[in-house]
Amino acid sequence: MMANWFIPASPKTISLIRIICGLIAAIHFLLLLSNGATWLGPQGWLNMESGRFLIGESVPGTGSFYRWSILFWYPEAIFWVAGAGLLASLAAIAGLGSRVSTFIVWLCLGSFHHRAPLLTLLHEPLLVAMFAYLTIDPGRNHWSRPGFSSGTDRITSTLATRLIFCHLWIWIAFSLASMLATPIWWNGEAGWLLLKQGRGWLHLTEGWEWLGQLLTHLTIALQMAVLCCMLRTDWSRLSRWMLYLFVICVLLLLGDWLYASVLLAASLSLTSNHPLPETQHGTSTSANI
Amino acid sequence: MTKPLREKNSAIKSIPIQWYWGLRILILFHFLALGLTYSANWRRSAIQDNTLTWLQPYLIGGNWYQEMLPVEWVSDSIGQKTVRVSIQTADAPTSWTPALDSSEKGIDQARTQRLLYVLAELAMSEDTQGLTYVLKSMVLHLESDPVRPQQLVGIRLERLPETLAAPEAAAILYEASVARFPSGEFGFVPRIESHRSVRSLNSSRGTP
Repeated sequence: MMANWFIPASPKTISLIRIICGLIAAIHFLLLLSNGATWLGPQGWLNMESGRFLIGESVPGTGSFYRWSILFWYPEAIFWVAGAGLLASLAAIAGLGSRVSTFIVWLCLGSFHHRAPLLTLLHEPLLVAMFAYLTIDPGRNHWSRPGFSSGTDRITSTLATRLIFCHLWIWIAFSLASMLATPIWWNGEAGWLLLKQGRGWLHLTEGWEWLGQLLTHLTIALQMAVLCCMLRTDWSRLSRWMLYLFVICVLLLLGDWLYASVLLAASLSLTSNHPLPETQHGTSTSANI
Repeated sequence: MTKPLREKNSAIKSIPIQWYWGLRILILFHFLALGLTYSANWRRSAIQDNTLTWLQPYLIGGNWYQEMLPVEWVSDSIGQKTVRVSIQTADAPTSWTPALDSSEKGIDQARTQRLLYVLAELAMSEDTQGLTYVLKSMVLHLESDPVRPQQLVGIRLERLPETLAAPEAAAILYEASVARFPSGEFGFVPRIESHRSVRSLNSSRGTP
């Protein structure tokens, strides 16, 4: 089942994922540079004292001991952590010191996440995970070099892409499960509610409830379809298109373009060009993950 | 150009078989731990809880432990309402000014919403200690505004109805006076207990 995880592949896909994730992280850190102190600074909305309380410091079982953010010890360092994250993201985009730069981005993203886990936004957990996998293989070092797609094939490229693929599958599966755990996603209310709140790109007035309901059902159906299609690599193109449609639903209902961008970056792992192990007869095996 | 599969497979054979098994076990362990974490976000059993506690060094240290993971877009009753923090200042001690509103548009809307929903959850679960910590932090933030320095005398957390046409239907989750101590510290004296949805007689709007 996992045989084709260890076959060398071109680092083209993983390089593209790194570049897109680097761009998203750069925007994320730019936003934190402008308003990070307002939120988590010594005089921020959620200062260190309240942050420590909310992570359950000194409460057994909360695991607060393992939260390693530097911002707990140096709350004034927000600007420097965000700045370092921004520089490392730019380096990751440019392919400079890729493994080190992706690790620094992961470290900086983690510092903010550990400081205030309850303020984590929708795109952050997926972005942090992708940077963790990118440290295994960030792809080609210099993307601007001619012959970008013709790097040396390596096992780590396949492994990192596959890990992102599986993480995305689990993410969508649990996103779907959490939605189906609430009645509003069954009776179609959820979409209309989000549209009424005006969070998404679609702004509707009364009388358009049916569209809200339709989008609710579409969101659920698309997630189910993506999950099913992802189980077969020969349906990778279909799963990618389903995921694109799901991203459109995210934008229309939630308007969270950073989350949509992370999903798009992760969708690159749904490529059909993963090499398949050769059978004894010299043909490829069936295409299960 | 991709290499022929036969050549690629020979590259695999050069790696010891133990490595593959080791990696496969690690990958399985990793995704099982992730599945366990994500599934614990809305329901969890005692054995799941214990396992997660045991896995905390890996999950938290490695940034995989996403407590209250926001995979849900809109889920509970609070998530469907507008939550607002209003303040009373020493300059205008009888009127309430909105300080933070979950329906406010802007680049910080998602983060504002999360903070206010956390605050509302604390008030609904009557976690006064947690509520005091977060509200203290907010008061300090508002009072340290260099552009508009102000001294707060009251703070209120309310959940607004879906339609703003009936503002009197707002449910006050918490309301307190800011009490100053000679040491420079401050605390809160609750004016209304949490969960109260009807205004008490001595705290009506505009009445001294």
